[in-house]
Amino acid sequence: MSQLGSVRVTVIVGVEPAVAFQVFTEEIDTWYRRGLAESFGRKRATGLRFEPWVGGRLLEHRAGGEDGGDGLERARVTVWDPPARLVFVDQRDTEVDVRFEAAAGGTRVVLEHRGLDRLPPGVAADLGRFGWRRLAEWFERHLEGQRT
Amino acid sequence: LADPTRRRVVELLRDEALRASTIAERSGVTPAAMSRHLRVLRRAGIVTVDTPDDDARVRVYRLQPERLVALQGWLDQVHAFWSEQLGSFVDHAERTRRKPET
Repeated sequence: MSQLGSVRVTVIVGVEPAVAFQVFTEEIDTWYRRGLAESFGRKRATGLRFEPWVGGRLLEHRAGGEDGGDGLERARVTVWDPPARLVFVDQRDTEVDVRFEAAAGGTRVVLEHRGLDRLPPGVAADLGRFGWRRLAEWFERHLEGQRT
Repeated sequence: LADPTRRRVVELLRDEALRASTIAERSGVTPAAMSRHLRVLRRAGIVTVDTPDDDARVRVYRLQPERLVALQGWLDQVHAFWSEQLGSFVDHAERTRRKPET
């Protein structure tokens, strides 16, 4: 399958893969920064946790019973393979694939977010705010990228 | 858009609408491979197919620049979002755990 709308971010973390996986999943609520995006973990949220199995949910908890007691489903786990890999699919059907590989200095974490070629409605509405000038800049950037 | 062939297509269509066969030829890939790339670009709305006024038998591919810019802008946003989240993840993991002995 061709990946047009995908994004990849790689980091090295100074812990072993098993620890990295554990921190990423069990402790997501302590490191996940809320309010950065609308997809999940909004400001009103009081907690975020994974159900640790295939088919499990990424649940967002909210104060005052707003979450129905159980939490709001933000994504669903499709691969749960500790300590190597975790994949979850959010409610817009975009897929986040996280791999944990042993590397010098600890663990290389490679996160790939796929299925982004369908723009969310808010972004589509912003279309008019971009212009040709920005397009031209982008062309220049990628042309330079090809030369080097 | 990370794919070099698709970037080449975008470049070729920057100035004029072209037929699939011309795009394939100028990119140096087979028509079958090009057809797959064009399908991906069409699905994302980055190119559209239409018929020029002077020849109803021809189908040409046309770049939709606003759509391309919007998609690239969106991908940049998602990239920045995850860079920030993973940065926070690394800080937390390293603050609470001892580094492995290497």
